[in-house]
Amino acid sequence: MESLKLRPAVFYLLLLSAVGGIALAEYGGSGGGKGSLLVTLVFWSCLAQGAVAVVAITDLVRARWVASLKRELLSLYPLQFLVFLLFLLWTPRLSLYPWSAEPGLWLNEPFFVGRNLALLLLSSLLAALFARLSLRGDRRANLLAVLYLLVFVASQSLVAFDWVMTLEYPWYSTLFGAFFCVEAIYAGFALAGVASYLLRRQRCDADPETARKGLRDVGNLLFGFSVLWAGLFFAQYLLLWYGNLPEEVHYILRRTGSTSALALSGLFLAGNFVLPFAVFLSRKGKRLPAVVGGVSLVVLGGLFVERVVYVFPVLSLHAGVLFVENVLIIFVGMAAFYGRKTLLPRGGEGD
Amino acid sequence: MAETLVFLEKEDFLARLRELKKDGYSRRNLALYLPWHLPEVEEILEVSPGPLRYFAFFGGLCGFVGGMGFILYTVLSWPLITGGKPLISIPPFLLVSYILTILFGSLATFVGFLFLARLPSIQGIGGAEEYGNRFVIVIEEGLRPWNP
Repeated sequence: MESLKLRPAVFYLLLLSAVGGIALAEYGGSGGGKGSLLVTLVFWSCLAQGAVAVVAITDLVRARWVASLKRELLSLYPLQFLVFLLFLLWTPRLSLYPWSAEPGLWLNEPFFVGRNLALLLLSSLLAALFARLSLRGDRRANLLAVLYLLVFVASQSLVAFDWVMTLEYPWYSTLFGAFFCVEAIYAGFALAGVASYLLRRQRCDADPETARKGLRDVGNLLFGFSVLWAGLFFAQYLLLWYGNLPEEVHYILRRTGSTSALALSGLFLAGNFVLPFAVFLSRKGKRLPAVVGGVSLVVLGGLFVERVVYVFPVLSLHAGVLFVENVLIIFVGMAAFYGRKTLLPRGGEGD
Repeated sequence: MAETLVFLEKEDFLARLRELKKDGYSRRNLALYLPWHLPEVEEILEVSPGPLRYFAFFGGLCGFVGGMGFILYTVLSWPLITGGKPLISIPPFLLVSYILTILFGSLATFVGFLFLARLPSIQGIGGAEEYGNRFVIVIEEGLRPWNP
């Protein structure tokens, strides 16, 4: 399947149906697994915002490797609108947060919903506008890239601090926001790796030399980000470890206390750091589209498992609901990806 | 006798180099003088990367193993129990090992570079000819090893 002729109206109908399906899975089902939607939300906000953020950054620094993947990464911007709708679905569940019993100045339901909805909406609008201008080669795209990145950093920081960290209220880590921003960019590069694999034939036919260089660049970036991710993760872990304060350490203990929790924690460490680091250390690993694509998928899987580890000690999860929700979003993402010819404006660059 | 070709523009130089490669010349009978490193040259002449990366890798590995070994040895030979933590605690050990990985990796790379480039030897520094910012191809008659 090379491309899909989708009219925007049909696509958005598909997107809304997926949201309806997710609402049905979350609220109409077994009643168990109140945290499934949060895992899905946090994971897809990371991917949808990260993919556009990667294009915004590479546009600003005039990176050439991204030229042949620009349309593909930007095609995922409608997922941000989907995340916005999913957050609306999440709002009835805010009573699950420990702070909802004693609301404060920052953590109270109206303000929590207001600021997050505003940022998600702003982020999706700016992403849509940036995608249009950037693909047309408009000179104002740079200004929008800067604006989008500012909103992206604020939005991902709030995802970290508001959606995830307050589950463990009053536990806190000041690195959490920056960590999520880096993870979102990491996810964007992993999506670029997956797209490189999906488009391998097309790109090799067009210009094998550029395709080879582009693949190597994506591999190098994934390698660099795996080290950066590990460094940030370790910095956060070490401070909690040597501080050894009961109110801080319980966060780690709950995530490593049982065999299954320890296995999950080991799994995302392997997927986000050990495997990409080991594979992309060699030059051969960065030459094969299948290897780059496969490792990118593992990185995305690692990021997903990490979100599960954040949520499951606090809220119950339901594997079936998680599966249905993510398959529906993957379906929408695929539709956006393969329908990019008709959904995105025609432009000079990246066609 | 060697023939010297001098170019002012990078593109002309690369085009001529591609022609020479087609005519059967290779690294063995071409000497190049460049004002800065051009990755295209390595691609045209099909140069495989040199052994310098192994210096970096094994230097780093020695740094990591040495760092770990050194801390384990000192901790076990002079036990100081602080904060009720176990003597052998991996998280703080990783910090020192990691920093020594970088230090030894970079030192080994530097030593490897000096060794491979034969820099400290005055004879090994290269020709007395100074080409400034021009690109030069010297076509040798005989066979000579050429290291980019």
